[in-house]
Amino acid sequence: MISLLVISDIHASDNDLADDNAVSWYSTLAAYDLPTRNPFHGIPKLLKDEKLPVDLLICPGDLADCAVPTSQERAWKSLERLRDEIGAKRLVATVGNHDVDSRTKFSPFDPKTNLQSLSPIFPGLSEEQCDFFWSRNFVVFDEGAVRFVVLNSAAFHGIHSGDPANAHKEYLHGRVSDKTIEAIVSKLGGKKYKLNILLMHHHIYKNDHITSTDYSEMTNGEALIRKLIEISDARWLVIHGHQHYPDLFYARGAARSPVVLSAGSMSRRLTGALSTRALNQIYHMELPFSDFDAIGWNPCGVIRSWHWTDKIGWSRTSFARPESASIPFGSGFGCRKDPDVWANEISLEFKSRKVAYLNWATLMEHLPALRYVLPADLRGIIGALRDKHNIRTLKDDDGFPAQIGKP
Amino acid sequence: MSASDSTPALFDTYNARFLDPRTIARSFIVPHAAFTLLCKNENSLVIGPRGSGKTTLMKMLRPSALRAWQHESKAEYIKSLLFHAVYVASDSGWSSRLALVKPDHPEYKIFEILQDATFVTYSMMSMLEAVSEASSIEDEDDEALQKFRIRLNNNKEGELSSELAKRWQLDLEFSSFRAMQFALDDRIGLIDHIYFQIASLEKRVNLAELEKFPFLSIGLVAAIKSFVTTVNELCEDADRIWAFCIDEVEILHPTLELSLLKSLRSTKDQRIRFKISASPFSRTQFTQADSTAPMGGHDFTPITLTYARKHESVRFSRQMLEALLREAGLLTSPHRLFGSSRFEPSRPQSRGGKKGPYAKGGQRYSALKGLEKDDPTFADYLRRRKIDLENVDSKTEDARAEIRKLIQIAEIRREFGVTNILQTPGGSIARYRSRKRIGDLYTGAESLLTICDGNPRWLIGLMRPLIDEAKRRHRVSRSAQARSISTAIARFLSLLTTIPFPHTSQGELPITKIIDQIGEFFFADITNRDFKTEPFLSFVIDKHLNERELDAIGAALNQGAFVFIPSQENEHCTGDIRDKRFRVSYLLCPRYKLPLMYGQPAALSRILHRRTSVSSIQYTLNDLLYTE
Repeated sequence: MISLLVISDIHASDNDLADDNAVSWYSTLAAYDLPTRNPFHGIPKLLKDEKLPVDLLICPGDLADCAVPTSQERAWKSLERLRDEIGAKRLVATVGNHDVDSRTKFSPFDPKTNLQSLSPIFPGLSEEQCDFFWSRNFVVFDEGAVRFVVLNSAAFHGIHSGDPANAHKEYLHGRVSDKTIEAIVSKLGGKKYKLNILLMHHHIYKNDHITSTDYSEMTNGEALIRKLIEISDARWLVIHGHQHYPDLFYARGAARSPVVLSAGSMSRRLTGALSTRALNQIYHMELPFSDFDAIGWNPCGVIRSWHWTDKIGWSRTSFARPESASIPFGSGFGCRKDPDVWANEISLEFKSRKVAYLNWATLMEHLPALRYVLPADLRGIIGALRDKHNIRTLKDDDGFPAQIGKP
Repeated sequence: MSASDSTPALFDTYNARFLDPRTIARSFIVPHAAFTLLCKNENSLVIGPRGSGKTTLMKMLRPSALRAWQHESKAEYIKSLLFHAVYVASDSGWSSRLALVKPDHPEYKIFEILQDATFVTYSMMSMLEAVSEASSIEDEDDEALQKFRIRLNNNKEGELSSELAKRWQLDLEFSSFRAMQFALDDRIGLIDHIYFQIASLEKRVNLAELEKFPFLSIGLVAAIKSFVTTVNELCEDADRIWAFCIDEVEILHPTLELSLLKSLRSTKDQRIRFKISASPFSRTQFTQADSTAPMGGHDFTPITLTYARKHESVRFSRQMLEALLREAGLLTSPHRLFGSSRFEPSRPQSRGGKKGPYAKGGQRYSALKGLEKDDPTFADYLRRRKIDLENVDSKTEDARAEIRKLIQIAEIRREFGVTNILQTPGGSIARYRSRKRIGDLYTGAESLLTICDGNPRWLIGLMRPLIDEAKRRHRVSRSAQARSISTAIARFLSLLTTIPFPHTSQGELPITKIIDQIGEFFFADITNRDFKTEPFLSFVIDKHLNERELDAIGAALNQGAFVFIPSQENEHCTGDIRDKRFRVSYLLCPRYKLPLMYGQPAALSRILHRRTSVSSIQYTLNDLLYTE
């Protein structure tokens, strides 16, 4: 088993939370260093109360808003302190578009100077690995049977053509170059791992949930994914941030396409259409990689998520919320069986027991893969049970199925 | 329910209402006499002010609490329990809606029906919770708890749910306890919806229309009987007894409160018991002519959670404090931590060595000798009674009894009494010896424990800051103790100020002004007159107080500002407080510089209608003593 805590798009800022135009719920002002005003405060207790260990603390980028150096340093220190408080072995991050001073506000010639000057060294690995990361735009390391690829999808931010006619604003999107893809493929070599995790900032696919004019996905991203699938036996989990739109899905492709966690922002203040649908979230992921074969799905796991409300703190995100851009606490992922097929199996199991009702926990003991269905698929199963088998479902306090029975 | 019943209570954060049974059990210190009575297989009425432990006691009857409780006598208590407890919490929200509507409102009857239905529905949830709790008892649990166990598999649970749903008129998704819970939640939602439709004038509803909702006619007793019959039949235990523990009935609407209290009257159904908790005062009273009124001692056992006798409250408070000290990791005694109290009862003479308190130079000797020197009336008393302070130490405990009773009065007079009385053309003016806010007199272990008045919540609130201090410094200074007392009093008074007392010339006064009058009256009686062995230190609520004044006094009583003093064993105070005797809570005594004891009663109406300054005191004994 490997446990990850994913905290993305912090966008730390020295804004005053009382200001309607504040960009971030994580204010570096001392006045807001309180449990219900500083999102970092309550996380150790949350994990302790829920009895959730963490092996790695992951940050897919955008430490501070607009690369403000003091806020960047503050966010990095907060992550480091959190790593220690929760007992994680490592803090691993990657570069977001807000981490690079691509508009050269703070340095006239080096958009990465502050990021590269952070202590401990960014992105949190050994000096050698960090040097590799900065020189090759990626780094590979392993944590036992799990291999990580950390990609810098903002590697070319701050670079643009001097010719105004050909000026290309690289900072508007992510990119992985062909050269980088080749280098990654070469580095991965023929080694076998139970699980591969790709960490980057930008998303692979265009995000048209909110707006149809999104162009900020990572250029060449799909090419990278195709290559990764080709060369590796083990499946991939992709973790990214950037759009602040929480989503959990299977990448385009065939049965071995990666699982993608598009992490929401921990603390960027959401505005416009996004604010009515998305939540500020953090995620705890558990991947039982030693049991993938027994479970039958790879990768698979469970995500527990909480959302932040200023002046209240962290709350579990309920499955019962109307379908929107949030990942519910206790979501599964990895099992791609059709919901109708599931409903048939569940119905047979229920009938065979000849009982008045059946607890969902009991069902999961006998059908373990049920734990790992996506929230959308779970809703499909509940619907199919009701519509095709007249089996009703009752929920628990988190909104997840708790019992099934026939009227 | 009056507005003041919704006043928060002192140290409300320690309110057991917000705690689950397991958490309560972990810190439960058993008031032996009260809990033993409550465990008996009979109807009970638990009476006490806010914070006295009513909710804690009721919740402790639940198997989930008993399971978590660690106590050497746990098995014995459980053995004595012959019933399953169903805990039903009252909610002021149920009645507050009805309180907004006048009785002459055209839809008042409908609101009443909705309120009753809300209460019955929540009671159904409690019953469901109780049977779920009983079915979750496992083989690994205490053997003593096994008698409460109800063995249910899925199908039996389904059968039970289905049958109960039929009787309670619930539509279930399918047959399970969870489905019943959802259906009951939906019912609450439906009742709320009807209520708001009427309240917002969206729709006029008449009684005939309510027939669309037949569940509204299910009363509490009917719901209980359905539950008991169904569960007992399914468990094949026809005689299983269920006790319905209804907490804080005084926050319900009077009609509902009255009907619940009526249920205390013995019923023919031996499978059902009622255990009800209430505050001492309530406007809800049975009339003299009401033959259905339950009688204490006959239909129910009254259990009073206040202590007329100080040693009982101190003993209980000591046990609680020792538990708090253990929890904090402090392996010391209250006496070591807080020091001795000047009010402490004298200890028996120790053998060889240490000076007794009445020996020359001893604490009591010094106090009495000091007063003899400064107070001619006390010296005169000693002479008349032929008491020689030089040889009190050599007398037996029994022989010292008379002197022992005087210690507190003597200490008060010595500390705060009048040094002289100046005669002026207008009358006498008294000059008080000491104006210290909270004197050292009230510090020390015994005094602190007495001041808590056996109220668990007050004890926790008073002691927690002192325990924190003890963890830092290993001892608690007198000034820290005085500060804690002072803070507790200030907080208590700030709560009490919200209770209005009618005043003819000034409209309304806060009840604290009335308490001040009472306190000052008692203080004046101790310190201004000649030395008295039995000063006025209690009052009786006589017939000259009007209804509004009674309401205010009653509200203060329910907060714990006053404590009932029964005139005979088993007398209890509930509902009507006329002709009953009370003292000021020991928590407030430091404010008025009163001894931590009670004394002779005075008629309250006379206390309130007299000024208490020394210059005005001309009254005779007959003016003050309570007479019919």
